[in-house]
Amino acid sequence: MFGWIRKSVTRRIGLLLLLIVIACAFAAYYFWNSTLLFPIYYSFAAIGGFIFLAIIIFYNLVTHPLKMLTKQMKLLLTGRAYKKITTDRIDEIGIIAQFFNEITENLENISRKLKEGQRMSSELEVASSIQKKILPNQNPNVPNLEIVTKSRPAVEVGGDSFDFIQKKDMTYFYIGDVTGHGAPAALVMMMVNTLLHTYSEMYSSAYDIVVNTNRVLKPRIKAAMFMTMLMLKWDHVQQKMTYVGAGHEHILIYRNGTGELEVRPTGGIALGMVPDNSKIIKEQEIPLADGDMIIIYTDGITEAKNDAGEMFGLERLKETIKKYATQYGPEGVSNHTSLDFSQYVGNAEQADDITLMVLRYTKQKETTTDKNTNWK
Amino acid sequence: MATIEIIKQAPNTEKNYQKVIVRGEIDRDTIAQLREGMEQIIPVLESNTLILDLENLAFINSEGIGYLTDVYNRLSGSGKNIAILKASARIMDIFQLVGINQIIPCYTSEEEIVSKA
Repeated sequence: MFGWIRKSVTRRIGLLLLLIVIACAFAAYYFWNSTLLFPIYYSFAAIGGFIFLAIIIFYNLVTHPLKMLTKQMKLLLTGRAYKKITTDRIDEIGIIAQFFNEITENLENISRKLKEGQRMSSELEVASSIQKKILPNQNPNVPNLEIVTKSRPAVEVGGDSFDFIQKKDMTYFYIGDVTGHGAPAALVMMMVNTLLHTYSEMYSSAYDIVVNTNRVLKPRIKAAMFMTMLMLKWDHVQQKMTYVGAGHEHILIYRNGTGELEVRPTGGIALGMVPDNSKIIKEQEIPLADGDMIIIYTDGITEAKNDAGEMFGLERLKETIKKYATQYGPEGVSNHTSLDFSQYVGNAEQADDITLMVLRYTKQKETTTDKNTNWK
Repeated sequence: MATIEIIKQAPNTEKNYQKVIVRGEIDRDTIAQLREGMEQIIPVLESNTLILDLENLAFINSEGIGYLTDVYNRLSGSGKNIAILKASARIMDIFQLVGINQIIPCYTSEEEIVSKA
């Protein structure tokens, strides 16, 4: 009974009016029949009192709560600080109050998420710009080598990395790919870049640099993360190329003399997989003749899919390289391979970072090639 | 969307290994499922060696390889082993490329399995 009345403001008002009318009637009847001198005055006074009481109750029941509600709504709509409306009413006013509270709570959640999203995306931008600064945008000048590198990340921050570390009589080239994308991958990439630079100051073999980088890296990254890497070392004086593989994609070697393309597995084990990789990796030589080319890349190229979902694949990459290496130098090989690649993948979305590095050994000391590393 | 199935078999008490069959594909969509399934097996592993039968595994991504490395490091930390059984040529290519086959033994038949005590 009471619940039925409490659920509706109109029912409450109806009940209130009914009670007032009954009370007035009783008062009028009572005073009329009393022995008082001026019963009509008493009757009017009593009725007036009841009506006054009714107005106060009406004010508390309807006018005041509505005022409170509209006040908070105005504050909300004008963008000022508003408060939650506390009420235990279960009628229309209670429903409006609850509606207001829920809507504003959702609004707060949304705006909080929006702010968090803005913060995250600005942090990602920072990570991306740091990464861009670390990846060299210019190919270096190295005696007897022509170098053309092109790289393009898939998302704001990618997992591919490469760099050239130039010492007095030698140059290190490396190419690497961290599992996953985004900020975590970029952090590992930056860590590795720093470690490689640091150890290249202390050691003069790619083997020592990679072993020590792995030793320091392993305990500092998430257990399921790793980075495949390939480091080449070019000795300027002896004109000798060696490499250390850490579970990276194959090395392609184009032999200028025979026109053959040699495929060499990099071997080793990816960085961050075992605490000590010194027994697993080794430094090996790639004997080079004048005009020979070394092509290294990341799996973003071989694993890129076309619209039909077919992968570009190692075989296609080999054919492409071989076709162009017989006609062009490193710049032509890089440009034409990149064109063929773009044509193959068509409109399919670029799912992974792509990096391609082409080096050519030449007896000439001075070389001129495309310096920019940005994949168009 | 890729699917995955993880089937735990009765442990081989004679050779002291526990075989788990992983079927389907390990990629971005299924990696969480693999992790979840394996984490129910690894903490209560009684045998000395965990054998992953990958005969019907069609694909594994780098996250999957990262997870296998993690499992390898954890098991060897507690004196246990992990081995791979019957991985397809395609999967073996990936394992060899990354070098994981140098730390996790890969067998082609069940008879070859050597469970170290």
